[in-house]
Amino acid sequence: MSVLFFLSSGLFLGWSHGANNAGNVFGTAIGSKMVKFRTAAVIAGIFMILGSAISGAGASQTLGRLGSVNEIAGAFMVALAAAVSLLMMTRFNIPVSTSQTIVGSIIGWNFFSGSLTDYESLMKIVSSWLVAPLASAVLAVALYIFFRFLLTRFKIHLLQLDMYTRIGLIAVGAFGSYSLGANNIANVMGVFVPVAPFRPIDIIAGILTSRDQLFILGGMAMAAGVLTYSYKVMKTVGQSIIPLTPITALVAVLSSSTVLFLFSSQDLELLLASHGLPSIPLVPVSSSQAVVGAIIGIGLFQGGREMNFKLLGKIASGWVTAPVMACIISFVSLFIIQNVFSQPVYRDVKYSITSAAAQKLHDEGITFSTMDNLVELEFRNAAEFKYALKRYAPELESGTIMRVIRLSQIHPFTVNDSIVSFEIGQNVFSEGQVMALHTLNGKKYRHVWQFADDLASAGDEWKTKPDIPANRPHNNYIRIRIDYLAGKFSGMR
Amino acid sequence: MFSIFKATKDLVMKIDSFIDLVSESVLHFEEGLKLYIAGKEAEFNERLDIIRRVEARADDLRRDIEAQLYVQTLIPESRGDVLELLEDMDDIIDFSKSIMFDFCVEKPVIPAELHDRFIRLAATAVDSTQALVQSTRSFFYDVNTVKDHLHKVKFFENESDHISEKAKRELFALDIDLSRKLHLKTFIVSIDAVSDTAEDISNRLSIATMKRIV
Repeated sequence: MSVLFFLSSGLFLGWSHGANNAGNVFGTAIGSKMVKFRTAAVIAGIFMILGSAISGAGASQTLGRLGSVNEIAGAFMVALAAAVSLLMMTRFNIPVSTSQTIVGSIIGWNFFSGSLTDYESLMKIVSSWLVAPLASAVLAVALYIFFRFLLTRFKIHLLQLDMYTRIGLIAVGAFGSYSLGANNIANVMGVFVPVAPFRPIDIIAGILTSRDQLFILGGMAMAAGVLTYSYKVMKTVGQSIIPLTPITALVAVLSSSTVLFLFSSQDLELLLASHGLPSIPLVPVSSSQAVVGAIIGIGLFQGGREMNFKLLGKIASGWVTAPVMACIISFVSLFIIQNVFSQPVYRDVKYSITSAAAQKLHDEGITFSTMDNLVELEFRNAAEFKYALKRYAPELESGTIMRVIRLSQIHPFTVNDSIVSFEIGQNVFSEGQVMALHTLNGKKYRHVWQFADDLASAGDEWKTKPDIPANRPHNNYIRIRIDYLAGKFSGMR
Repeated sequence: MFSIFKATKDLVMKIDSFIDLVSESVLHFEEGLKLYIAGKEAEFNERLDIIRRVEARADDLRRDIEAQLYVQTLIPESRGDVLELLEDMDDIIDFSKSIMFDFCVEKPVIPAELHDRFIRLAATAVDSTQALVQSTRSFFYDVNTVKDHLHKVKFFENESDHISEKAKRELFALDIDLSRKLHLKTFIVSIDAVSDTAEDISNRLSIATMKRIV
């Protein structure tokens, strides 16, 4: 029951996300009376659930790297702070999205818990906020020119065009809802991934991991938002943005949905990477801003008359104000819930360069003259450890520092395969993996990477492959299972 | 899904047939007038019957199309314009029929000097209506070419004004009773009004077209 209570803020975030953002996908179709609300709501609901369950993982990994909230009460507060800031920004009529508030909220948690913010992921996310509306605008103009060419080239009867546009709006709406689910489920449920207490379930089609279950639940919350509360928003979006013809509406939704899809498709990332092309970062972006970007693109192409440049300024200001506000709200509310309600909002993660870690660092060629002074010293959190490293080894580059920190993370546990007998019964692990795990029974570990190394040498099925995009799904599969086992053995799950 | 395609195709065919009927009605009107002037009353009456049937069919089709557009909430953006356009076009059929009916009932005797003028006036009315029919087809199939036909409507309307003015001058220069002159004048005005109606419709069509251009 308490699990459901703590998840409620995420579900609330999902619900309001569904209610608010379905308008971006189906608003114009509903506003122009081309599609009935009920049809739109059912399609949006179904495809949001599918999108979050099937393709939700990509964007959530980037968000997970930004900061890994490790206590459920903390996750509750982070999601709630994001939802509250979203509500407040909406009050000021600034079109921000969950993507912006959740990032600020997570950084608030990082500050509060002394965890490190991965600036590489942060830069990736922030730059994509800028790129997404721009890409959407460019794509919208290209599609607009293409559609105009088609309409002049092929003489289509007004009624047939109307029918194709309706079919198009429904198809694009379904695609848009799928992309919305895939890209934004990370915002809604991402923070709960490391702390979700669900056990894996074996269904006919495969294993539903705890993350899958969480995403399906989040998708359902979004769908509920669409069904119960999106009518007014859809009406408003359809009528308040500059009057669009059904064709321009189709172009706007198609381009923004495509952009959302590009920023969440792992398959596309693989495809691009396997051809040596630069891949698109998988990050949660804002659907509202993508739609506005598309409309502005078409507006500029048509001559830029009646352009609302004030709105542009407001959007840009939202990129800064929304995360900052969410960060402050998150920090303050974490403080309150910890000190007033005595709920643990983060679990201390200690750091120490143990002798094993020192050996591993040496093997990897990472050495520094003052390492001996730090060996076996214990640090309370990552921020403190980083500070010490910077002081004792100023010559280390930031990438190396991150590696040292990662290898020095303390996570003590003892392997006991009877704890995971349920999962073994559910076929979460392969036969070879179970056998390898069995050989390590009773062994004590201080670092997760030691456990991963031992598993890899005990059985080939635990081995990761070289880190190239094509191998990422396999490596992720291994990593998720090792993290799950380590969590189980240490009693964190 | 299949039924949507079928229903749309069906409706497209109905609209095409309706536009065909408008075009046919003015052709019958022109032929009817020629027959009247040639004194072939029986054949003229046959034409009148034909145009009555055309009018009835066009009315049925229009009502059908209107109902389907409303019930299936089709073309929400242009529905108002399309419905108005169809009603206006229907007026042309009604108008042609009522002029022929007036000829049938009032039996005006047209002096031989004016035969040519009357026939040319009717032909110009037909030309302006045909140009309107073409622009209406373009409105449905290829909105970018509507204006290629619309200017012809304007041209034929001017032409019709010109002919009717000449006809009136020649009529009033004739040595016949004033009552007969006034009677014949109403027919000249009526036939000229067909082109005027076509021009009014073309003006509204021009605005509807601007709204539709992407």
